[in-house]
Amino acid sequence: MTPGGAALELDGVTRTYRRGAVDVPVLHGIDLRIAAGERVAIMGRSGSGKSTLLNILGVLDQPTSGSYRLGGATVFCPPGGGPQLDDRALSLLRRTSIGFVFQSFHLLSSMTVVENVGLPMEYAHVAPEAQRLRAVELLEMVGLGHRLDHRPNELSGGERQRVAIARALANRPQVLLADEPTGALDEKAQQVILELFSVVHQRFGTTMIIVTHDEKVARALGDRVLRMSDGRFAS
Amino acid sequence: MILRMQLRRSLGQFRTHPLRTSLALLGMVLGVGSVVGMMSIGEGAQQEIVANIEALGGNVIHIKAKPIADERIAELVNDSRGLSREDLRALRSTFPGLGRAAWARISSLGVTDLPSTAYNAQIVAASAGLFDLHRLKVKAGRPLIELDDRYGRRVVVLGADLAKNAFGDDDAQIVGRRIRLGYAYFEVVGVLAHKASVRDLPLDPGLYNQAVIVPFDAAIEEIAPVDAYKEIDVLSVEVESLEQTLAAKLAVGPVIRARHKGVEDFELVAPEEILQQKRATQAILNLVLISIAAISLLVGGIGVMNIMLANIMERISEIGLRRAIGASRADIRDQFLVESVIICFAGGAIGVVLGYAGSFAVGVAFDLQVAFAWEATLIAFGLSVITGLTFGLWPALRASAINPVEALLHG
Repeated sequence: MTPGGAALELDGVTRTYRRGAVDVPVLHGIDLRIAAGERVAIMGRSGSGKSTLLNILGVLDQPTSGSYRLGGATVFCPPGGGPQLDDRALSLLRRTSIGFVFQSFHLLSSMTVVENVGLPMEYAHVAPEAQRLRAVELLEMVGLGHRLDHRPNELSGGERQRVAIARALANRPQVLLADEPTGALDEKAQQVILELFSVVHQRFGTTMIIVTHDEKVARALGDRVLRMSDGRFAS
Repeated sequence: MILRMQLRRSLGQFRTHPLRTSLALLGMVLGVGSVVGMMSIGEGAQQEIVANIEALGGNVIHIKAKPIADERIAELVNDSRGLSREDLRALRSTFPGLGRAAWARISSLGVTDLPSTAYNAQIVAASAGLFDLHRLKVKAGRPLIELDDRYGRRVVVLGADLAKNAFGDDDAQIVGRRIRLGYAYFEVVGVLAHKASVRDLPLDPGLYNQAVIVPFDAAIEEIAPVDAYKEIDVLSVEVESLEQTLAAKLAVGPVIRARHKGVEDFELVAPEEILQQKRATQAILNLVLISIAAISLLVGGIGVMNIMLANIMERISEIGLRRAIGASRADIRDQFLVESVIICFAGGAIGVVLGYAGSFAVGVAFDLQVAFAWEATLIAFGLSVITGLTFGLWPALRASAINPVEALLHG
């Protein structure tokens, strides 16, 4: 962790995609500092760059320029600013430090609920017995202790998202990234998920970054709400 | 542990998509099954050939009289008197080191006074040495011996099939019986063990199954007088060792040819040479079989590759998710590679079992000898794993190169 307790820091991050012969800038010089344990909601319209930013924060995408430090360690730095991490190191970072929650859950239908939650631990080389213990503990926490051996298609949308949250916490990440976590849920299920995020934050103190277009969700989950427009934070 | 994890993931995938997995397996089963099946039939044929030809005696050269048309005899008789014991004397004087020798004259004759009907038999007027040099074994009684010839005894040894057809299975009851050949009676002193036939051999050992073997002089005197041209049909001589057989065959030819004044009324048969030719032919045949099987394995491999590519397209979102939760490109590559190797290995194992089962069924149906071709089995297994690696590598590399952000959008 950097002095001052920053969980992650972005300096001058840009992201430009190449579409044929045209460069399409999506992020323009993003500066961001999020303290450890802070909950930040990022709001913005479609195409504002919030998902791209989330992908960079989750080390799934790389900035075109600028630097990114996660937990004090440099993840991306400008060309010539130091060694770039290779795919193995970036994967290790995702595995150990970051948890993802997606709008469409992304549960594997070929696996049971408990196996889905155990999956990130497989990549972290956790022993199968320990995997199951931890997965069961997390599923009990999200209120699905009675659904361990069910398949995802046997669960409601809200239950699936609870499984996804349990999976995101499997390797005790420092940072939880959620992309429209309630976007596919009805009002009642949304409420359950919002409460669950609060429980997780209280229990683990995880830094949370939630991308949403829903004002209510942003206010409920964010200690701080940032608004994005055209690849920049609105002032 | 990583491999165990990969195996577990792969098996989970196979359970989820049994039809797709079965189709991928099928190509490998057919590929490996055909390798093993063809090789086991080939190996069986090889073993049969080797056994049968070795049964003729490896270090023996047979000089066999060629049939001469009656109208040519008058023309040739001034130059050659056909194959005879004189040829043996000539050979012995040229090659003093020559080993044992045997000769026989073969003709057809009715055998009568057998209990049921008359049988058409091959009368083999033979010197006693024939039993050793032609690897004839008796299963009851005794073979002919030198003294039978010397004292002109009227005794015979019957071929296995003839004895069985005429007298039944009880060989002990056959020995001691008397049979009539032409106008003379002979006592049965032995019954030959069955001899496997090698149909395309110039000297088919199968002829002894229908034979009545008679001491040479007694036969000439009583039932098979010397014909107008040749004295004997086959002259067999033993050389010192297997290695010398082919050289000896080359040396023997000119001596006989010179004695017969260039008339080609004989042919030389060296079992060892035939064995080598058969082995060479079989090796070519095996190569052809392996090539055909390799092509089917290739087709199987392409099938696996197609199915793996379809598999990957269907699982793009899963690849994105796995990357998001910490899988590296290498993890994704290994996962798909392990899946294709498992499919190919399992297909190989099933193919080996079905290949052998099929070849044994073909063996029974067509009366072919089949054998376990261990080398082919190992090669087939090895090839199936290599096929899995080769044809699984490209799809696996493609899977590992998928952009996780784009992959997650497929969800």
